[in-house]
Amino acid sequence: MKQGKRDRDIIICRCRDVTEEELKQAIEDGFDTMELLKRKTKIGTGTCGGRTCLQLVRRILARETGRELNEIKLPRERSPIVPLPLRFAAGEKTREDL
Amino acid sequence: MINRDVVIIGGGSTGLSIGYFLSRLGVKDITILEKSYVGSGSTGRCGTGIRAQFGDEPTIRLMKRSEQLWNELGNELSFNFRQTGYLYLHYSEEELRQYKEMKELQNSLGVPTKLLSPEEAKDRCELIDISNVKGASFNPEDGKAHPFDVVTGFKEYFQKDELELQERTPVTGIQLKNDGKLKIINTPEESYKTEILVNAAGGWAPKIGDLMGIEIPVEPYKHQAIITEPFEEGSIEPVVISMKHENAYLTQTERGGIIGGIGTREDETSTYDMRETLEFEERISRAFGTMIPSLKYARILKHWAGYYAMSPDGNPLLGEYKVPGHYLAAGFSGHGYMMAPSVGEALAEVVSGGKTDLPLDYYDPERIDRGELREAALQMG
Repeated sequence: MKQGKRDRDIIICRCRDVTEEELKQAIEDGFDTMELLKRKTKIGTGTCGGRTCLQLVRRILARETGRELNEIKLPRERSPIVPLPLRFAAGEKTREDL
Repeated sequence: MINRDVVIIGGGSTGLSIGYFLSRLGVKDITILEKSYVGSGSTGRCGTGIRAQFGDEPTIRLMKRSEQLWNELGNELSFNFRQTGYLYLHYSEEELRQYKEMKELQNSLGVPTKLLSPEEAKDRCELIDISNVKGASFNPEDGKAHPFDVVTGFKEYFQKDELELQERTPVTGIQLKNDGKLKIINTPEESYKTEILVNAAGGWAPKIGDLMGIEIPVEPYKHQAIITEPFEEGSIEPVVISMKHENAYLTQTERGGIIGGIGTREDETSTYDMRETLEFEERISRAFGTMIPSLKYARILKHWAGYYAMSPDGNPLLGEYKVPGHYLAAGFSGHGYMMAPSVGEALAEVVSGGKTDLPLDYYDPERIDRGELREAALQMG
């Protein structure tokens, strides 16, 4: 971290605007697994589905709790693997989709 | 070995609510055992809706009380019970007639359900396609609450009140002594001795029964749900239901995403399988796209499965069962979350030796063994 840069200025989850400060506070309040942090702070629940932030969050969680990185499980991968418009899931396509 | 007045198995909305109301009655020598984290089972997987629009008197009374308590709990435990209403869309005259009858019954029990014209329904949620809608039922007292905020509120209450809540603590064995009056409950680290054991383990309630050598008539059925990317607040305020489209339900959560599922049973058989299926994604997308066409352009972010813990007649099993001092609060058949406050209050009153105003006789689990099945509560989620 650069000197002078404060945790509240560092955005970890861009979709949901979650800062490092909020994450540290949540971890301190006992939300100390990825599943709990996700539910508490909304990290990883934006349109990117956590593809940008979850690895960063994992690292912060490891550092704050003194655990090894590989001890920290990522939230379970669920379908769909990329955000999927309902019309595609329903089997609909239009000319502009092709 | 720890002695307790009451041990509750299950840290979902039901078990937490029973613990909360016990503490309010002054019964504080209790332990709640949760095998994973609070709300990790069916509570955290549910559709978040809370409604009193049912078709039978006992359930309407139970839910009327529940909605009062949801309000009180929201204030006390710092979560939002958002009374945005439940909007049932009716697509045929037949459906309208049926719901008009239910509305009369609901009104007679103090639930202010109204029938709306298609245009009035659209006023409640402008994204709905009303071209085939003949009318709607709307109860403004129904609503939704975010399960994570609810269980977190309970957990913080227990911490403040110094009640024992053990997460990541599975029950590994139960021994019955003195004809079952005394129960020894084993967990990996500790054992608990109690006369009163409450089984609030949801879809896993039969597994707790197995440990006691009794059969509990609850079967988990898989139901799936989706959530979309977040949208502007107020996009879909009420919980919107269509019985015509496989009993589909959807609403916007406090976090912005559109959450929803299908009330119709997905599988013929009971299962502990929780995998999501591609087929469901197609079914729900068709249903949602028909009800609210603009949703076709929303993106599904996540898709998961949970259980409706079904009892043989689709109604909860509440009360003492087979072993003295063993109370069931299970078999909610898809309605456990919304019923949790009034069930918690009633069970706490009964367990602590008092009386309850709620129709618990109707939900007596022994009815199943006597062959007295009730009419199933209106199912959709």
